[in-house]
Amino acid sequence: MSKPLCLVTGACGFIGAHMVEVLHERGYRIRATDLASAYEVDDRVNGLFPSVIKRLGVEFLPADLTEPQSLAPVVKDVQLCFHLAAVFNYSAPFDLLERVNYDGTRELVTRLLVQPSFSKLVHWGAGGVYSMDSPMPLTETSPLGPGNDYLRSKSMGEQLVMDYGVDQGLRYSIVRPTSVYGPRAVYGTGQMIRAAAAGPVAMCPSNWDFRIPFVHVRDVCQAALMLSEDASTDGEAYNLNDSSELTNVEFFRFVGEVLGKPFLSLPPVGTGLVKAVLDPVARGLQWLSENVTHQPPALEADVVAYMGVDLAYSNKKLLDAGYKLTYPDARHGISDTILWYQRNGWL
Amino acid sequence: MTTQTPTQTPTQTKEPLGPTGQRYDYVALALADNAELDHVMRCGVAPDPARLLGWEFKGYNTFDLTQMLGIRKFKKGFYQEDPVADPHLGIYGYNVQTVDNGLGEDWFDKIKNGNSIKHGWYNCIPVDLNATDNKYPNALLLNYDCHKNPVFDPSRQLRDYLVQPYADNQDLLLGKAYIALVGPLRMFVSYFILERYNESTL
Repeated sequence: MSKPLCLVTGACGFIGAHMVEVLHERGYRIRATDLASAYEVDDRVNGLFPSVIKRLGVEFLPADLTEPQSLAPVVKDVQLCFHLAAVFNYSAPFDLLERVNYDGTRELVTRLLVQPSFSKLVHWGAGGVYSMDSPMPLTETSPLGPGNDYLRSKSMGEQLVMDYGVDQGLRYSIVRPTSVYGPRAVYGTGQMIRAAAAGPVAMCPSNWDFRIPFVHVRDVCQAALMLSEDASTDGEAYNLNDSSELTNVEFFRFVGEVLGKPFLSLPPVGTGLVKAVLDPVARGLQWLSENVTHQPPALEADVVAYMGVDLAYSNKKLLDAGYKLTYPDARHGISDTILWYQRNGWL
Repeated sequence: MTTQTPTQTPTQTKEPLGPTGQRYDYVALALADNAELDHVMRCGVAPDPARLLGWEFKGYNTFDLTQMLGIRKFKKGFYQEDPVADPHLGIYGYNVQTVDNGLGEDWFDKIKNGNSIKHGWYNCIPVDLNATDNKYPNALLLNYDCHKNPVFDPSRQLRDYLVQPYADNQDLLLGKAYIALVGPLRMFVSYFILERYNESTL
């Protein structure tokens, strides 16, 4: 019996391309979709990796969530859907975020539901949908409180999927990945790892002992696949996070140790001051990146926004569901990722 | 992190036990004193080099000075060179630099140019009773006077003896390192504990 046909939306992106790889390794039939333009760009530009899909010989059908008619051929005969496609930009205008991350999800779901073959949706939420004022670690029942427009649009998308579950019988699981890193990570945590690895010394203010949640991209995709196969996870949301709870100091020290660089423990610095200085810089770099250089910015505003926030996520629900982390300790994944960056000339 | 299915079990006359009458495990060996470790060395059997091939073992030096030098923890790997390129069909090994982060932590390779940092190469040979390095006839000798090391590399002076404390456990090993001084003179440096950890990254 052949494996189910899986639709991966946002397949050219960092996590989407890994999702395609994981499904391919397990012998699933795959249909990848993304914007037509995303399929044409070179690797690494805007963090897109269409070469993965091309290399694996996976079927690719272009689609645009804001053009619902483009979705019809994409959803045909699909059994499982991994819905990653989204505008992932903390400074994007809300109407764009809403059109893609909320309206686009609705258009996709309504078309999936009328497919006789359709079985289950794994919907990508976001680890950041919780209120950061909640007690740590954050569990799936912690109060929601998205802190920016992007996260608000993701939270709305989650609620939409839940509503379809109640009203239309949609089978779904929602995943809430935290800071996803791994080979080919351009933005976010990947950028942080490369920045930490690039300098002559590793350094961090001695008072930056707040925790950073990590999850390796392979664990994100493998967990999503497990949830898609397990009916007992229907209608549930899951934090995707590893078990390490590294602090900023531990992270930077570790990167230094792995690369044989001295670690410089800087005098205590208030994170408020650092954020006040770096935020405008990051926004300027982001503007240049989007409008001029089209290369990843050296610093992102969303990375700055999380500075000084002690974040910890419970992964108990995921582990209780039977998922076994490949990288329970982020340090193994970070060192593998640094190796990948070096071997591929990114460091 | 992983284990290998035992195959043929070598003969062992006496099994070494710790002060509590239990078998030593990795941590118990790492914390044992030199007298205990010498007893284990003498009771152990020579590991089968073929069972080491293709693996890296996490290593821990018992000599406290190694902590100050940042070389308390390391890995040792074993491999066989291409028989065509190497007519001697020898089994060789190497050391891997790791983060020196304490016994209770995992072993993390240090990284340079997209690879772990491998150094201190040696070949694995049975102890020859008629040779200078014959202190433990029941051991496998790791001889660093090996063509893989640069001619003036000080590591060429190292000689390690390696035993398997328990004949039925091929994953746990005990080593004893010496430095070759002048002629037959040898200076004891440290015991070290090895445990099978990951496949060779060579």
